[in-house]
Amino acid sequence: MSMNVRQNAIALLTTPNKHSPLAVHNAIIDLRRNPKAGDEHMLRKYLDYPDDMVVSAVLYALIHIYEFAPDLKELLLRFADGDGRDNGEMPIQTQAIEGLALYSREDASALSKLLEVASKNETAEAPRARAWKCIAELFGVPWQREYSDAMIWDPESEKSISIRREVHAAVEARDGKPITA
Amino acid sequence: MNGLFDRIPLLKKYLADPNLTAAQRAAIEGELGEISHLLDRAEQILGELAGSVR
Repeated sequence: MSMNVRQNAIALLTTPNKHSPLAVHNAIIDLRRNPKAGDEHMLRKYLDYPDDMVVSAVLYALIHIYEFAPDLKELLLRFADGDGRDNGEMPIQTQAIEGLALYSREDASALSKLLEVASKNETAEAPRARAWKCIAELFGVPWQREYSDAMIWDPESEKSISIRREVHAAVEARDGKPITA
Repeated sequence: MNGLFDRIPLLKKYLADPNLTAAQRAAIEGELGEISHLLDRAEQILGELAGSVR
């Protein structure tokens, strides 16, 4: 752990208005690479930050770095439906989808949300492709690299439809029960 | 990091838009160039790491 990097990150994160979103994002990454219990309280304030990459970085930290928070699943369920701050690859929604996938082996509501987001035509292409990738992994369907490219390029192409059919068939075959890790 | 895998095909898709202005095209090409530079740099670091453990 680098205490210097950590202290610089904390100093920046306590004066966010003086810094660009990129600087805030980098400080969050620095902090989560040098974590201590309790940092999550400071990071949580950034869930309301206007920049999508900042919020996504905070979500990643809350999911993967810090101790489980009881309300985390509720947060992920909310963000998985989409967020007005998201742009391009929709990092907030995509991160929430990845987070929900971690709960989906034991939690029916998390899996149900994943399936709902994946099935909706209105879901933006990148998070939708990611949701199908997560479902494929939960149900033992090997996900080829070109699957994501196809689903992002044209979610309604023959290839994309056939990928969804393949994954959907695996879900049906297992009666909606993911493979246990 | 996760987003990078989705960002690349998205940028490719944006580039295929026939209504793209020259400025938009330049911005997308610039971003792809930046990603390419980042990946080159990552590859270089991996090479250095591999060399240092030998």
